[in-house]
Amino acid sequence: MVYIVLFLYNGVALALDYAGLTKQSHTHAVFTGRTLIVLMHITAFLILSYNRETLSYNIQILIIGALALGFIMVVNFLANLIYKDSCPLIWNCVFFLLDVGIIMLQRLNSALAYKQLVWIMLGFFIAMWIPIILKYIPRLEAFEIVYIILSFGLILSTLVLGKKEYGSTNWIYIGSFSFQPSEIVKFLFVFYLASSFRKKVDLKELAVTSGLSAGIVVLLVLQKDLGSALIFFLTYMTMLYIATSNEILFMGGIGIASVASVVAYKLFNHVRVRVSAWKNPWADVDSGGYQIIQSLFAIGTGGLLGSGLTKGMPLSIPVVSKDFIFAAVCEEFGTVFGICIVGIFILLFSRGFAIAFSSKRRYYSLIAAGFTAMMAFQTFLIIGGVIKLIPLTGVTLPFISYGGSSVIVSILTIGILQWLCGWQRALDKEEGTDDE
Amino acid sequence: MNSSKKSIKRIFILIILMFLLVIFYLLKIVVEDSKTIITNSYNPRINATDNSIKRGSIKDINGTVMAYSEKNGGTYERKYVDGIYSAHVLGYTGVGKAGIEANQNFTLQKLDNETFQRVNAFLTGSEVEANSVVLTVDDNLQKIGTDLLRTNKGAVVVIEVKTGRILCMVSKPNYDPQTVADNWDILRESEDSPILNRATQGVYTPGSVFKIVTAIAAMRNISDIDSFTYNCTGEDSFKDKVIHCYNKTAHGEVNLTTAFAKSCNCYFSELGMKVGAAKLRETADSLGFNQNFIFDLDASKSTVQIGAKATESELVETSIGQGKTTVTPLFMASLTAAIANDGLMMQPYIVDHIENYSGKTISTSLPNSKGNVISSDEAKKLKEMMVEVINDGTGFNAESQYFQMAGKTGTAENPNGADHLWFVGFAPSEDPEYAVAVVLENGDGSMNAGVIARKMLYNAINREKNQ
Repeated sequence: MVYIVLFLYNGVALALDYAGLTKQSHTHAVFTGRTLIVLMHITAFLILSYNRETLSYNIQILIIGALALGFIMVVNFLANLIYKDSCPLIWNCVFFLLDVGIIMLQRLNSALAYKQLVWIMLGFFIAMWIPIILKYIPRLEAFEIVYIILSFGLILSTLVLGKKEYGSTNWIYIGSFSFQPSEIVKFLFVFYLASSFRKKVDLKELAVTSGLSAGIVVLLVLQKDLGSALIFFLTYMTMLYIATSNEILFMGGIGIASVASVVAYKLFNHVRVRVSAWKNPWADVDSGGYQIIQSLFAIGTGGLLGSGLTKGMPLSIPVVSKDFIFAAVCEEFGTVFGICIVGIFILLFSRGFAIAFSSKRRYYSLIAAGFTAMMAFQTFLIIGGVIKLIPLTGVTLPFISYGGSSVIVSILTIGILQWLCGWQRALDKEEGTDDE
Repeated sequence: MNSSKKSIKRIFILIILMFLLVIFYLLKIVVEDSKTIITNSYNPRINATDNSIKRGSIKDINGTVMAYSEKNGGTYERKYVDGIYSAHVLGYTGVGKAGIEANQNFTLQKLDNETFQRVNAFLTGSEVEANSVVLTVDDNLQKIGTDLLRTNKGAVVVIEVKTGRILCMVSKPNYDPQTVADNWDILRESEDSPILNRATQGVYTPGSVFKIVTAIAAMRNISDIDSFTYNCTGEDSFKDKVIHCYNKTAHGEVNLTTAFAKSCNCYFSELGMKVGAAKLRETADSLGFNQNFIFDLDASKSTVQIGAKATESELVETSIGQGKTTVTPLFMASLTAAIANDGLMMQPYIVDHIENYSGKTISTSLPNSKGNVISSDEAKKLKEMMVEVINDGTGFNAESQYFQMAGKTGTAENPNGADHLWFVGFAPSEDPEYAVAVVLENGDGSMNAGVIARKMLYNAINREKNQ
C-alpha cells in the first residue's frame, strides 16, 4: 500500500513540475497547474499522516492538510477577484512553492507547519489590501525620504532591542513576538531606490543615494547579517544599472564590492569562518563545516529521485526548517524535484521581469525589477550556499523556508508585482497614454 | 526608457545564468560527488536500514551466499551463513553497522530498475530486491584461516599479487554477526576488542618484518651495500641504547642477505645508522607509510614517526622495527605483494562486483595500481633475500614441499606481555601468485606464524583445483 502511494507521489510530483515548467497563461494550463497542486497536496498529506506501525492515519495532520488546502483554494479565488488582471502563472508558482514549504515543514515539525500557515494567512490578509491602498495613495514616489529614514531607524533599532540568533544580531523581540527588521527594510529599500532613480539622476543625487545605501549595507555587515547585506547591495547595483544603463558604474560597483569583501575577510572572523567552511568543509567536520556537510550528505544520499517523503533523515541537517530547507526537499523529493523548484523560481522571476519590461511608467518598472531581482538574489544566495556553490549566508528561501517576516514580506512583494501587472494591463486595455 | 529595458533584459539573462549554474552544480553533486561523500562515517544515513525492501546479499567470489535477507512477517531480517568465519569482513547491521554492511549500505539498499520491480511486486507479489555485493574473498579460505588461528588473537590477510584482490581476511577474536545485537554489551566491553577488525585497523609494532623497509632504504642510499659486511657479536652498543640479537646469538660475519635471513638486529642497526633517520623516513613514506590507507573497509594508517631530529636510540630501534613504528596486517600484505609483483603496488580491494536482483552484473571493480613503489632491481634482490629466509634462515618453518616460499619473520617486543609474532611472504617465488601477512598477538609458541602463512598460501594456490 505504502509502495503504491509512494509511486503515485513520485509520478504526481514529477508531472507537476514538468507541467509547471511548460504551462502558459492559458486558462486550461492554469487550471491543470492548480489541479496538480491540489493532487500533490492531498498525496503528500496522506503520506505524512500515515502511521506505518498502527496502519492508520493521523487525524490531526489530515486536518492541517485539509485546512491548508481549503485556505489555498479560497485565497486563490480571492486573489483573482481582488487583483484584477493579475498574472495567474505567478499565483500558481507562489502557491506551489508555499505548498512545498508547508508539506516539508509538516514533515519536519508539525508545529512549525501550523505556524507557517498562520503567517501565510496573515501575509495574504495584508496583501489583499494592497490594491485598495495603492488606489488611494497613487503617488508613492513622493515619500522618498520617509523610506530611507524608516530603513535606518529599523536597522538601528536592533542595536537597542536586538537579540542574537545564529550568530547575527538581526532580530527584534517585542514581548513574545519577534521579527527581522531587515525583512521590512527590503521593502522600503526598493521603494526608496525606485523613487530616487525614477528621474534622470545627476551626480550629486547619485552620490547621496549611493552613500545612504552603502550605509545600510555596512550596518548589516556590522550586525553580521552578511546575507541581507549582499542582497541589498546586489539589488542596489541592479536598480542603478537599470536606471543608468551605465556598464562602467556597474563594473565599478562590482570592483568596490570585491575590495570590500577582501577587507571584510581580513577584518571579521565570522566571514573567514564562512569562507573556510565553504572552501574545505571536510577540514573541520565537527564545527565549521558541519552544516554544509550535513546538507551535502542529504542531497547526495537522496539522489536524483529522492528517498521518498518521510523516508530520509532531513532532521540531521542543522537549521533545516529555515536556511537548509532546500537540502531537505532535495533529500526526500529528489534532486530532480529540487531542480524543478529552481525552474519554478526562474519562471516566477521571468514573469517579474516581464512586468518590469512591459511597464510603461519608469517608476513602476524600477519597482518591479527591483523586487524581482531582490528575490532572485536571495534565492540564489541560499540555494547556492546550501549546495556549496558559494559561501553560506544565512538567508531564507522565499516561500519555502519557515519564518514569519520572510513569508509575509515575500507575499507582499508578490502582491506589489501583481498589482503592477494588473495596473499595466488595465492601462493597455484602455489604450491610454503614459502619464510620464 | 529604451536603454533601461535593455538593461532589464541583461539583468534577467544574468540571473538565468546564475540559476543554470546552480542546476549544473546540483547535478554534479548527485551524479559525481555523491559517490565519494555519502559513505563518509559522519553521514547519519549510513546507519539507516530500510526493512521494507529485501536488502541485497553479500556473496563470496564463488557466488556462495554469506549474508542475505529473509522476510519474517512484515519486515526483512538479516541472516548470515557461517558468519563467524568472516565476521569482520561482513560486519553487522542492527546496532549500528560495520564492515561491508556499513560501507556498502547504499549499494545493498539500492534498487535497480526500481519502477519495474515495484510494479511487478504490486502485480505478482514478488519481492523488491536491492543490489547484491560480490566480494573477492573465498569463503573456504576464510574458514581455513579462522581455524588455523585457533584461539590466538591476531589476523591473516591473503592478497592476489597481480591485482590486489583480497582473497582472505580473518581477524581474531571473532564474533557471530547474527547475534551482535543480543551480545552487544559483552562484545563492546570485552578487553579483547572482538569487534575490531585487526586485519585493517589493528596497529602493531612490526618487529623484524620492518627490516624489509630498512633493506630498501639501504639499497637506495648506501652505494657499496653489496659488499658491506659486519661482524655480529650478538650485541651492539649505541648512544643510550644497546641492541641485542634474538637470544643474543652471535651471527658472525654477515652481509645484507645473510643478516636478513638470520634477522640480525645488530647488522640492521648499523644499516640504519649509515642510512640516517631522514632517508629512512623518506623510503618509508615512498612505500605508503604515514598516508591514509584507501580500502573498501575502514583501515588505519601505518606510521613511521622518526624525523631528521631523531635520537640515535630512536633511529636504531626504528631500523629493526621497534620504537614508535606501527603497521596494519593489510598494509604489510600489500607491501609484500608489491615485492612479489616486481615492485608494482596494487590497490587492495575486497568488493569484486555488484549484481542486481536478477543476478546481472551492473558494475565491476578493476585492479588499480599505486605505481612502482619499489624498483624491479630492488624487488628482485628482496625476493632472493626472502627465499634465503625460508631456505637458510629464521623462516624454515614456512618451507613447503610443494612450492618455493619467500618471506620474512618478525618478533615484536610488547611491553604488555609476550611478543607478537609476524610472518609476511609470498609463493611460488619464481612466479608469485599470492602474498600473505600473519600476525599472532602474544604468541606463546604453540602456533607458528610461518606455518599458518605456508598453509594459507598452499590453499590459496590450490583453490581452483579444490573446486
